[in-house]
Amino acid sequence: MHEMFPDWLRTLSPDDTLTQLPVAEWWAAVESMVAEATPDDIIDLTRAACGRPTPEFDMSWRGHLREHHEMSPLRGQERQIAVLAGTAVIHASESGSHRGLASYARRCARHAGWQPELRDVELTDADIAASGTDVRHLPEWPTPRRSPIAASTYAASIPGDGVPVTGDVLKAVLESLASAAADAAQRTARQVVKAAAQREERLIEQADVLSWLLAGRCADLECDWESLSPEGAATMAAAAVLDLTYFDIGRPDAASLIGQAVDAASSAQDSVDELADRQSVLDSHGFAVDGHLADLQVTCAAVYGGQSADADSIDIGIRIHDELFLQREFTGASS
Amino acid sequence: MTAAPPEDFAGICSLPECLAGSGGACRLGHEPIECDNFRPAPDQHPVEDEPGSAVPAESATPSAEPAPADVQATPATPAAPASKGAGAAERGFESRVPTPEGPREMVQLGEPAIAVHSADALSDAEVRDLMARTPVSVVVIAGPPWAGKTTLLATLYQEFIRAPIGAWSFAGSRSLLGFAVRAYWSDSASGASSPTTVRTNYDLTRPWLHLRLGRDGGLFDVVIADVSGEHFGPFRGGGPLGPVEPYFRRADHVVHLLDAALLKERRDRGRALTASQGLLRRFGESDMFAEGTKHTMVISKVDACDPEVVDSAEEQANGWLARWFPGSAVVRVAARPRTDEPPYGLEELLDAIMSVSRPTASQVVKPSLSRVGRRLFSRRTVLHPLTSEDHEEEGGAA
Repeated sequence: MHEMFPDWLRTLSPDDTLTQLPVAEWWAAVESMVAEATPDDIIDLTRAACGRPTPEFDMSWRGHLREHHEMSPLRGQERQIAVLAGTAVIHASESGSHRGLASYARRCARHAGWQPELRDVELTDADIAASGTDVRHLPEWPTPRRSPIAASTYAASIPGDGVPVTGDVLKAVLESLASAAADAAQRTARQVVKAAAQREERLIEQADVLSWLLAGRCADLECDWESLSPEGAATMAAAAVLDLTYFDIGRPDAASLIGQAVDAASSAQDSVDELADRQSVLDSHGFAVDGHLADLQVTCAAVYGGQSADADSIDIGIRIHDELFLQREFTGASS
Repeated sequence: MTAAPPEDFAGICSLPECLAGSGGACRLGHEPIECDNFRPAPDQHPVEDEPGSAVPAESATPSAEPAPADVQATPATPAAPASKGAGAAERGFESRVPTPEGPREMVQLGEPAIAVHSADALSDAEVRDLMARTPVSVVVIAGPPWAGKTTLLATLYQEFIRAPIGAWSFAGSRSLLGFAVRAYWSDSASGASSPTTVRTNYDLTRPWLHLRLGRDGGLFDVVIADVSGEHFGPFRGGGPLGPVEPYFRRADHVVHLLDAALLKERRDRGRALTASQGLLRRFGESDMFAEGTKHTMVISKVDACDPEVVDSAEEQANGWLARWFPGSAVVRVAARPRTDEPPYGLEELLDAIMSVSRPTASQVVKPSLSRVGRRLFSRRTVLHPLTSEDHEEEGGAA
């Protein structure tokens, strides 16, 4: 059981003992839901956690809870159902095969102004920063493996007392020793190759980000950041940072990178052309105004609609980054 | 395949559109005698006492009363005598309904029973049920006996009957009777010559009082534990807090009471302050509170003491709070002033208590896409949930 699960359920009880709540049954329901969740389920769990489930998912989620605890309500008690959905979406963002999707769904729900019944659902920044740093940590090179040749490896080949050592006996002993050494070397080589691949993946992302940063211009539009409005720069930079992210958790320095572009932007108002460019870049990243995730992509929708901005552009950029990241994770997981 | 009753076997079926009662086929395909929905006509019931009886004799008695199995909350009936004249009185209750002629009317309650709230103070289970539906803040009041914990709650009820308290409006309660009981002895209807409050029972069967308050278009639910001051005596002396400890561990807000009436006499003052400090210290040094639990110190009955003494007590209380519960506030309350003045300090107390509350789910305004966009681009702040004014504007625009 998740160590925080009983704590999360305290919000459903006036005392601390929780003895009257089916904690074990509910946890079994949450765990099995997360283990078998599809990308659609993760998004629906997020909606349910914020008290806005689709009718179909509401029925399905209540039915799932009922399977694990026969007294679970099939109607009413919406808050209890939402709290349990919240625990499931938090658990999904910490384990299972849709961690990134669940993390960014929670984050986008917060951007949309949704209020989860379980407050921890909206506390994602620290988790994403920690996970994002963790997955980008350069793995250590493996320690060269010494050949672990045990006596048993060659004992069978050594003749007993009084038996002369012949060439065949020596050959058998040497072959067993060589085989064990080759096996150890092979294992070490495999580990080195794996570590090299992982390090290369991380270093490539890092190198790409550095070159993008040092270039100091918008690669998609082939222009300097200075020629864009802050909102335009924020949108383009958000999309660029997303393109430079090779892992299922975003870069912990995404806000800083977007901020570099926004700071370099001019204070001029955006033009009609810029709006078209923004729409184009959002289109290319899979955003659709009436798409499946539209209710979780409110910032993208606003930017797409060309609403004039007097808001913190870096904040807009971060939100666009998160919403496009959600789109990417959802599309990737669904395909 | 459906089963039809024998032609000479009549009765009533409670299942809609089933023809078994009129000699047709059973809708469920059952043999009528085996079907739970079918009741044979009275003259076809074998009597229990008779050899070969298959149906309880009570069913054979023509009566306006429904069969016990059909009506919930019907008193358990012992086996009825076979004779028709035995009557309902022998079955444990008196029937005032005349026995109709002909077949009995069947009463069938297909839906599960619906709980009717007694409006008394709530039990833990009832609060859990409430919390499964709506966000509820849990408030616990701590203080020695006679410090004014229950009087505070009774006065809140009495004041809300008259008018809103500051910006807080009464919007409902599941425990109105519980409030009324606590306020009864301070009401002229009680016939008492002076207002008083009955001492709270040590029992914790129904400790919770519920309030739903409205403010700025939002509704806020809160349950307040009215527990006896006797629970805190052993705790202050170093003992366990006992059965109320789980409430404190869960509490969103804890109100600590300091009885200003005890500060009136110089000889009692030191002891009263030491007692309050001791209780606060025990709470402060325990690890029972969650990280987000808020604390407020209430100096009650401030009308009973010189203002200078209250000032001094408040200063000391602020020092205690700064040490054990930093960021907490002191509120002066006179829930039942001895003069003709109205109670005061209640609004500040409500402000403090409700600071941890969230609006009920039904009042959480759902932002629309276009509205969020406009909000996002209209100011240099992070997004906020829309307010009811936004929605009205939205509706008006539409």
